[in-house]
Amino acid sequence: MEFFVHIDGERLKVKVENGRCLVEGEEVDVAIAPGNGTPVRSASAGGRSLRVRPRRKGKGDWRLDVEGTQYRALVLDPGQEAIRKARQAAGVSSGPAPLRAPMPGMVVRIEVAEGDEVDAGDGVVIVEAMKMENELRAPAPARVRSIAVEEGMAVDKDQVLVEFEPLEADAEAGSSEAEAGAEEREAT
Amino acid sequence: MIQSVLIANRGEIAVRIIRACRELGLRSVAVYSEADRQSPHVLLADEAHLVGPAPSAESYLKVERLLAVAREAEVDAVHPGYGFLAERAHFARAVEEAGLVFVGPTAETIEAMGDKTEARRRMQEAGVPIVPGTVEPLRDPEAALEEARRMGLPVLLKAAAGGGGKGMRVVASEEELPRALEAARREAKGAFGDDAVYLERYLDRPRHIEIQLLGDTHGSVIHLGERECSIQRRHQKLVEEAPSAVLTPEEREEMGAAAVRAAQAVSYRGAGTVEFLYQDGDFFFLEMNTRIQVEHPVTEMVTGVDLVQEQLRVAGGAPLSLTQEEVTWTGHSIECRITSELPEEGFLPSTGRIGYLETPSGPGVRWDGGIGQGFEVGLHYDPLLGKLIVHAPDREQAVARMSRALAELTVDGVETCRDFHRRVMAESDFRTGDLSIRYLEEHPALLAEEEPGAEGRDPRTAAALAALLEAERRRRLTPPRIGKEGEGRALSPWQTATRPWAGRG
Repeated sequence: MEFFVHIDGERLKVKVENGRCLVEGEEVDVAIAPGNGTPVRSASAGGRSLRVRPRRKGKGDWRLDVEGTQYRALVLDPGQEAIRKARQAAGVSSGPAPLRAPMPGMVVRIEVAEGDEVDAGDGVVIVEAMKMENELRAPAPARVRSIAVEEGMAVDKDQVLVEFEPLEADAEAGSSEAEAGAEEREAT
Repeated sequence: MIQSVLIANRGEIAVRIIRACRELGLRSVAVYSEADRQSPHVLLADEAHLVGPAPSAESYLKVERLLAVAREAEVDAVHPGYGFLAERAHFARAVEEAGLVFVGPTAETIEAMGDKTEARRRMQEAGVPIVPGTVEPLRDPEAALEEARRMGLPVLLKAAAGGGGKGMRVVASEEELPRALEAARREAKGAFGDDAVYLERYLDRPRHIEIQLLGDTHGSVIHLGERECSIQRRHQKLVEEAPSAVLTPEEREEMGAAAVRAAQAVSYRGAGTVEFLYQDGDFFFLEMNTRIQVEHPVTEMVTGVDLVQEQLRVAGGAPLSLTQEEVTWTGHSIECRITSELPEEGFLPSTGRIGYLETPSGPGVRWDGGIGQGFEVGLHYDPLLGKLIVHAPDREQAVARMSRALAELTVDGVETCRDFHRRVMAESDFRTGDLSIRYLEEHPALLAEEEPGAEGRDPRTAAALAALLEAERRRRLTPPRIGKEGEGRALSPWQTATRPWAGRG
């Protein structure tokens, strides 16, 4: 099997065949022992014994804890990789992602109004959970399209709080790599 | 002497107290909410009683219910732990009025120290240095502005009834003050039911150093040295250690003596802590906590004194088991609080069921935990899952030991702040002991995931591992076929079930 692995800002071509592993055409001595029912896997790399804790967050979207070091790896087969490339080339953009509640809680204050321009890092909504106020910030520059909640409202995890639209200048620009990945995971 | 103790708490501190009871031969009676039926403290205690539904206001904070259980279980004493009712004078009073021993100081002491303006006044009287600040609580933005100008910015807004960082705000400019005052009062009201806040001068780069005290009913008060808890986020401690990397023996003696004076000023009984801000050899009283602290284990590790057992002994009327001269300090201890929060995402709380838990062990390692496999981490309670504590001959070895232990800690099912602690242990200012309570502001990179290209990263190996895992997953999910790939018919699961080799690629 052949994959394109997006990791640490790189794209590496990895071929897995009869227990052998080629990274960018170069053989690497890496193996993983069969699981034993725990989330911890024993692996080896070039004679080193590694403790690996893999978690799969979505299609091809892996989180690896290798001896305590964290990696995010998007593992795509050639077909998925071609789709991803085509989308990027076409500049497909879904617009800025809406702000969602990261945990269940209560909306304490809304710091923006519809039509406001926000910059990355600007406070948007304050949600209280576990008796602590958490200020949720805008991930990127955008304009507030609509506010879906009111102050004092209880919200569930992942509930949409505020929707954004791109600022005029950005409207034609392509989406970032991460967004394209996320979008594809949803679509397939 | 007391024979049996009701533990009016949950989580790791309830486990800690039950362990002390067991070792002293006392009967332990746990209480639990509907969310905690299967919690470690329930499983460990000699007896356990349901006190109500999951929200703490309807269970762990229900005084009448707790006292009813105490009567039913015929206990002699009530240990409040920390948080919940530990520093509520009305609870201490209700326990005593029910004819039971409250494991802690008297209601009057709790009252005096719980009201921060009153505490400051008393400390001033006892000759303990305090940070310049307002003595009266503030409600009016105009008055606050005037006080702030008088003291000089930046200033700190604090809830009069507060603790644990709730209702606290640092204000750097006059424009921020009205909004910060509003937020601090709202948080104070929500957390403590009282929106009184006060202002004090904000030191620019102080360390948080606190002194552990023990007092008995025979008038003895001793100190067990300091803990440094400078690594904090919004005044919530994250990493604690004993001793401090900077305190000289003379300064320790001076601060210890001031803390003992503070305790004697309120006839202190039990375990308590006097918190100070320390900067360039000066120290200022911050507050007194009239309970066992989360970070008490680092003191236990370096002094060899079991603070919870000592609390239970003096509550039963026994004198302290050691004198000031008998207190000695050996080696260095560090504690990391393992919480279900994501530092990489602004300390967002994470919830879920603990599917797998592996706690570190080996020389000099201690795990004080309140979770077990299958445990559901919800949003009803504090996010503290457990505390990882190490002890080693010196600070450098303690840091190395903590790094080693953190790498062994595996919690699956809920996100934790473990990786944050790993980054702290590797950070050079932490390693050299150059700390202040601004540590996290000064090192924002610790609150983010490692950058690509950081030392020790090996994306090629990780990419190979990820590809192997993805290949393994695809093989498992694709029914094996007879004949050449892409042809033939799929085997049914009934056929492959008895053929373990089938489907291995």
